[in-house]
Amino acid sequence: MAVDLVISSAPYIHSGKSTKKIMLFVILALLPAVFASIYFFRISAIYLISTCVISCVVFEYLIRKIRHKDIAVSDLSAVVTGILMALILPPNFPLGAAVIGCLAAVFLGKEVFGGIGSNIFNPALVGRAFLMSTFPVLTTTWYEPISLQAVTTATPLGLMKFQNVATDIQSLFWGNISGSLGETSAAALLLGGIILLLFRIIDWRIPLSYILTVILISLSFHLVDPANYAGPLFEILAGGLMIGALFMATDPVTSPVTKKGRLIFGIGCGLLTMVIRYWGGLPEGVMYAILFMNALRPLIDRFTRPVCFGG
Amino acid sequence: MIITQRRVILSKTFEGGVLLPDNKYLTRNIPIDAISLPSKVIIPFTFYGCKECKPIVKEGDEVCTGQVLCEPQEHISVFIHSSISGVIKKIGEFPHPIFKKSYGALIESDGKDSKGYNGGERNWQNLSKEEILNIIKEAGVVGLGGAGFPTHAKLRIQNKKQVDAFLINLIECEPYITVDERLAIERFSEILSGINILLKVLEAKKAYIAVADNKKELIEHLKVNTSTNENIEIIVLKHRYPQGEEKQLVKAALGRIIPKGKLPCDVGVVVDNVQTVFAVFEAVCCKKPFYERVITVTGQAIKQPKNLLVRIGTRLQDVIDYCGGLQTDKLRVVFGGPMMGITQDNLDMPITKETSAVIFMPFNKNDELNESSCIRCGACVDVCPMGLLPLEMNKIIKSKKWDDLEAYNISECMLCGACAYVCPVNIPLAARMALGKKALTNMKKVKLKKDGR
Repeated sequence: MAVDLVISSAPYIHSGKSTKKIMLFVILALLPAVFASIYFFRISAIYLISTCVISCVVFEYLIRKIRHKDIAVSDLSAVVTGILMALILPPNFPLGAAVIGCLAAVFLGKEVFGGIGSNIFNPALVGRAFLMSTFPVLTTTWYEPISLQAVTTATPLGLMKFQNVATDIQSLFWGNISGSLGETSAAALLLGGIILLLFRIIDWRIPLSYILTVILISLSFHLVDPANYAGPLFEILAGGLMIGALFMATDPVTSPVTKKGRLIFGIGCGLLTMVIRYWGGLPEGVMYAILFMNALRPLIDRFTRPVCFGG
Repeated sequence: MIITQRRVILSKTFEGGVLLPDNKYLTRNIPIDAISLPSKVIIPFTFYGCKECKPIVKEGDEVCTGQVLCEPQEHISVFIHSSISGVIKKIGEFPHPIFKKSYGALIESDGKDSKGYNGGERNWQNLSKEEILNIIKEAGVVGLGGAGFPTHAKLRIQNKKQVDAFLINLIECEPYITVDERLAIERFSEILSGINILLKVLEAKKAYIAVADNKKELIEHLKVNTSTNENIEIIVLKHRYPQGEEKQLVKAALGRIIPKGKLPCDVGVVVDNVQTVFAVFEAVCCKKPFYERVITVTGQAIKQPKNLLVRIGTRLQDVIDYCGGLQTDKLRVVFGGPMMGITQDNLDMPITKETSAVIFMPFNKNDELNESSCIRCGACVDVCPMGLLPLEMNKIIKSKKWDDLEAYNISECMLCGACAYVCPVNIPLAARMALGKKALTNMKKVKLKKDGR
């Protein structure tokens, strides 16, 4: 019997971890939020999510093809970008505009840098920021959940900021409020976050430091001036904070790799979010906070290099 | 003698690392078996970090088992012995599992296995420290955990430093391997004597046996058998890879941190593998040179996995034949563990003093890992037991900016492979670190030469 002895480099066993597996878990963790969005925003959610997923996958495929690179669609990262993209858009968002947003997300957010792993900013947030500047009215036109009344209403954060009207915590928690597709139900997002944490897909440091920072800041302001500043529960349940802290800021590619760096990253995100919410021109600051911290990521990694064993 | 309950500290560990499926069930309960006398052996003359030894025999000479073939040329080197009796057929270049090629001797057996040394018992209590060290050197004992560093040299360096703890490494954190566990269960009284001999040499007060908590039977065995020894403490550590690495071991077991670039003796500790201790016992008390060792022959691709006592220089083919042959025709043969071992492609490859295991791993199509670009997930950083940044070093090594490497402490990397094990995009991080370390050493050598001029 002729034996074929294969030569390779150590180690000869592998954990079986892969990008595809990580992305599968992220998709699984996003499902509660997807279902919640379908429940609250009905058929418009289905249209928007499927449009975004399909266009992200198609764009990634085409761009890789044009650049003569390996087709990496099977790693499912484009699917994740698509779902996230849809979940942070308002319901009834025009599908054509959503497609443009997806092109921005995949091309400007990811492929322009050389594909997954080389991008500086979270692709879905790049897409969203792009839409925000190209379709400022469409991206801030909100609808009531379930009834999907054409009457435009402000989000809880907008109500709080511009009209000083507080929304009750229970509606915020379950998601029976106006807002982007998938960010309204904190409960569904938390469930997804727990899945990610349990299967060690994300590190607890970023979400925890992010949320704790927001709690600390809002609590101190609330204690000083309860009439004008909502309490910490409101601040963490309203707007995009949950989806941002659990799914956006934890994107492995665009967050620091060191433990200390992750803590700093989370604190920075929380700080900027609150600065924008309190003093910025916009009611919500999660998106720009994370994008800004994404830009600081290389610096954070550089200054938080771990001390080697015994060093 | 006073019987005292040994203090067992539960599940200490270190930072980083991975939990590996240990696969030790294949050979864990199989008693050590001696391989039948091989028809020929290939004995390499090269060892860890030292020059090739000069042979004192020539082609055509008849040699006996345990007869000296080579005498050491320098301090960090040992005597090399024949492992069978017979005729030296050839002295020249032969395959070597670590150095690829090495100068060595091919000896053909006469089937008699006649002893070329005076065996018999010896009472170590009457020997001086220096005498014991010489015996160890003459017997050719080296570190049997895998590195193969000459034991007498390791014990002698200590002279200027104060060593108070002797740590016996029974962790065996690499999957599949069970030699140390078997040996400790079957030959513990000999190992105890070995420990006492080494305590005398080191002038240390206390010996610690570090064992991982996945070896329940062994822990019980140790507790029962050391209950009368007050100078021995058993330390149970968490089963986690690479707990058996010196720095991680000393930290978890004794709470001492070996500074960067230093050795265990700098914090008053000497670490030895359990089989090394056994070899010291045989050399000192039985006057037996080191010409055979226990290895684990295992893996899903070999018919009968075994714990085998083999003569040094036994060829891979003989080991396969003795273990019932192969199960598959496409496989990887690994000398050492699956995390840090080396694959071999030659059936004439000899088992050397450094070989702790031979693992036969079936190779399927999906075992081929395709590298794609780093997604910066940081998994490698999380598992690195040395607190390094494998992903950053990978980037530097790929772009060949060797100058930047030192700042990342690449010299501290011990190539444990934990990073490569968890990498979701299959970057061969361990291989790359090895490349980087090599390039850096070469660069330093060139620099030294330039400065010398």
